[in-house]
Amino acid sequence: MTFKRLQKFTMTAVLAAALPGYGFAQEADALNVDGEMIGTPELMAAACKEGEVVYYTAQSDGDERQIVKTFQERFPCISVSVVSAATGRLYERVKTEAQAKQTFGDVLILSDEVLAQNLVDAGLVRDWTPPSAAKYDETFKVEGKWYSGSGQLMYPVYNKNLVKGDDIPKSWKDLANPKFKDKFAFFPISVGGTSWMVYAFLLDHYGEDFLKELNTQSPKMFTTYNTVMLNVARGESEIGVSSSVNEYVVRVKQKAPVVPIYPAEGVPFVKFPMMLLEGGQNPSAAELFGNWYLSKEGQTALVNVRGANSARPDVESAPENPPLSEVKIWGLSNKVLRERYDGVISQVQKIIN
Amino acid sequence: MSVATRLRTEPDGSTGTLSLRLTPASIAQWVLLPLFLLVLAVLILLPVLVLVVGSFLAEPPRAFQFDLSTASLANYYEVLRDPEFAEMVYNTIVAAIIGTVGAVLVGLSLAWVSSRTNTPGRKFIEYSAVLPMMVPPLVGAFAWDILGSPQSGMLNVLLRSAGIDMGFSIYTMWGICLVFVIYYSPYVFLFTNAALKNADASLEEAASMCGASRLRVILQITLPLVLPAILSAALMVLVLLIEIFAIPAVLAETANIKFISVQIWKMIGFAPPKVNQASALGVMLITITVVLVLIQQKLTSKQSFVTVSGKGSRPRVMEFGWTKWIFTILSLTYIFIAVVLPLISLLYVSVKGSLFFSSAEQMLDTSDFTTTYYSDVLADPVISHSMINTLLVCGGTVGLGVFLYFAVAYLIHKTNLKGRRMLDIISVLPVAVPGMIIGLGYLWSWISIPIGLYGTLMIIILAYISQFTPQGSRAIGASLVQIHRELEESSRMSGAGFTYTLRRIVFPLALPGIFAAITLLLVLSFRELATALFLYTAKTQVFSLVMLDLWLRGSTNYVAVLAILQVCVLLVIYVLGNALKHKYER
Repeated sequence: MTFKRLQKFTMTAVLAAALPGYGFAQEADALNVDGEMIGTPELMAAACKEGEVVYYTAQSDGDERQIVKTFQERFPCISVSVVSAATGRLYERVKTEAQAKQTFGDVLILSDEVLAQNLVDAGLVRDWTPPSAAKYDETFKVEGKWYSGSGQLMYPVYNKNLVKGDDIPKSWKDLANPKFKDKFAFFPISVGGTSWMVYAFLLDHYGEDFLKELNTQSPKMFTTYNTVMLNVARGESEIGVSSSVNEYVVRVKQKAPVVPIYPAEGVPFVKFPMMLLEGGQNPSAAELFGNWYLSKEGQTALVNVRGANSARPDVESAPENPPLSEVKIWGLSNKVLRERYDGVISQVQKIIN
Repeated sequence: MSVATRLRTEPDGSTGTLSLRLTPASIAQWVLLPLFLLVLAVLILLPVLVLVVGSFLAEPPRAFQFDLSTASLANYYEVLRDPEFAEMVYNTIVAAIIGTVGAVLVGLSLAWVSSRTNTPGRKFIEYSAVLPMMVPPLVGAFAWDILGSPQSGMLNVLLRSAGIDMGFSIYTMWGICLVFVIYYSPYVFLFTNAALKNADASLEEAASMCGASRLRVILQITLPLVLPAILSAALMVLVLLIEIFAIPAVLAETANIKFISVQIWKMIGFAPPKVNQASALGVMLITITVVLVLIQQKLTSKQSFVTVSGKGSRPRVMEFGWTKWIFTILSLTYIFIAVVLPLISLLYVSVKGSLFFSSAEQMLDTSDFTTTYYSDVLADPVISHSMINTLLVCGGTVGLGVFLYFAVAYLIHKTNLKGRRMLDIISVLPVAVPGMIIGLGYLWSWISIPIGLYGTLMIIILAYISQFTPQGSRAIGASLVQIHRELEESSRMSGAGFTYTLRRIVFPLALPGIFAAITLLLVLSFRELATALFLYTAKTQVFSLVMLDLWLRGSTNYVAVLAILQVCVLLVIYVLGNALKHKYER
């Protein structure tokens, strides 16, 4: 064997020995998210073989596609197909697909815990414990089934060009100030889990009489939070109550003259349960994606793109939002929420339909 | 031609044979009519029946799984006992009636001015009258929200800056009806314009020669001749306005004016969704529409509206003196309000950095004008992919749909086959069922069809074909009813067969109506939103759903950009469609 041939043979042998190690190192890099291992090489291999994850989300399509870009850069072998719809429509779609034995979705995130638990009870949710499970407090998960993949605060807002000085509301009770009659943008309890939390909070803290007072304000009732925000931002209403996500878009990205209020009595935090669907066609990709979404990297992307709030205490708030530690968060455990759900709706609908 | 024999018993008890002749009439009666009934049954009846069944059950009938043990009237009871039910019905019906009357007055006037008078600029008026249709109702409502909101609407800001405080608010019943008229008068225009052009001028000339005044000719000759088109259009608009969602959702909510369609939306969004109650409301709407259709059929069944016959004729243009300029001014003023103003507001929103202004100075400040939103949209692969999907869906809907609609319209209006009235009734059903509810019906029923439709573009195409059957079959039917039977009979008596007569006589004469239907279908398909809500996947997302997502995020600038793009595409479609229509008109 000539020297040149020996050299070539040696190089090839060294590379052949090193490449699997190199591939393993690359996999390990991809799976290591800020020091958290979000899966095993076997899971990643299976996920790449599946090649796709179908993600049903109650969050905005555009926001989700931006969020999952980071995942797709990390795992280019897996494409994420996003289907965005309101929680009620998603729920109906998932149940119908399951009944027809044609489950298209792999991962689901809803804005309503009760619906999420309905799916769990119907056997439509896989068992799942992501590596970051311990980072989520008990109130933000049903262990082994779903975890709060996103969240939003619900709080009052006002238009700073129209409301000034002593009129600026500081408390939920200020919403009932007669100065704001006919100038108050609100929403009915029928909007869903997010609105339920607000009404439950108001009932718990101020009782039915306060809701009656609010009703005398002749609030403009909207079925979407973006219309609440735009109504306040454009000056058609002076104050309103909205979600942090919709408020963030208008205030930070569109530079609207709106100011959020974080009342000292508390601010409802709405959890968005994330779960893996039973019967999904890409189970490994779904698990890897879900693990990533709940990681610090995934939650940071969520918060920065959407202005949402993460249930993970180690994730910083979005720029121009206060840290969650400075806000008095109000929430209910899943068990209590489910017990009270129908009762609160009946109670509220007798006062404000 | 004898194609079949069967045994028959002779009077003396022996057995003989009887030959059956295969004629076009027997083929139509025993093959074609049942075939198209079956097609419409699957496309329309099946989803509607699933909704009807669901309205009586406690659980939704998903994938044909019905729990009949829970059947009751509970859903209807819950709907009826809602304290706001009466108010919702009143608002919905009153607004729909006012909107329909306005749409007929405006649409018919524009059609008459552009097709039957010597008004200067009538060609421009004809083209412009349909332009509001290029704007989906959601976007139209959004544009008028920008223009007419009492505090920050562009019109009010400009007027206040000029010292005029009119207090104009689009958030009122009259404001909503105005928007209804603007976006639904094109339907009336399309139907009546085709009919006015096809109407036999000799009748009007005869009346004039007998001394009838122009007004009398218009009221007693012209209008009655095109009455089927007017009634068809009015009926269509009335039921569309009863079930329309987007305009009340954007404009009525601010004023707390309740509408049935918004209530259905709320029911579907409830947690858990109240889809069975929503179905009950949808069924009530279907009942109203069926009644309206039967009334319309009764009114027009005993009259002959034939105007296209063996005698040669061409549309008669009425000559006016100086008054023609009044028609021009009025028409152009309406077009400015209905078309130009909303487009200006959309263009403005698509380039303005900050949409929050309280003075004319801030509003007209061009320092924050930007093309960023356009470059973002054009660079977004999801938007371009959704555009391709939408064009494919439009093409499929028209390609398959027009064939179906022509066949249905022909069977209904040009034959005496038993059972054709059933075709007529089924074909109109989708109009009254709100899009988001029928979307549920498609999901619940078609997901079980074992040919892998769910998750494909084809399921959306079929849903659109189903949803637009009323508009398509009526647009073509309005042209067919004006063709006298004598033309077909003459052709057959001269030895031509059925298909030859259809191809060389009926089809060319019906072409204006067919092109009107194609244009209408392309426009409706492109902008349709609710039907695909439950059927799309990430790979089959259509343009309007991307726009909806942006609207729900409050990204009004991007919504405006997509709206402008949509208007441009639809304008191209409309111009091409119109050019073809004119080529084949008499």
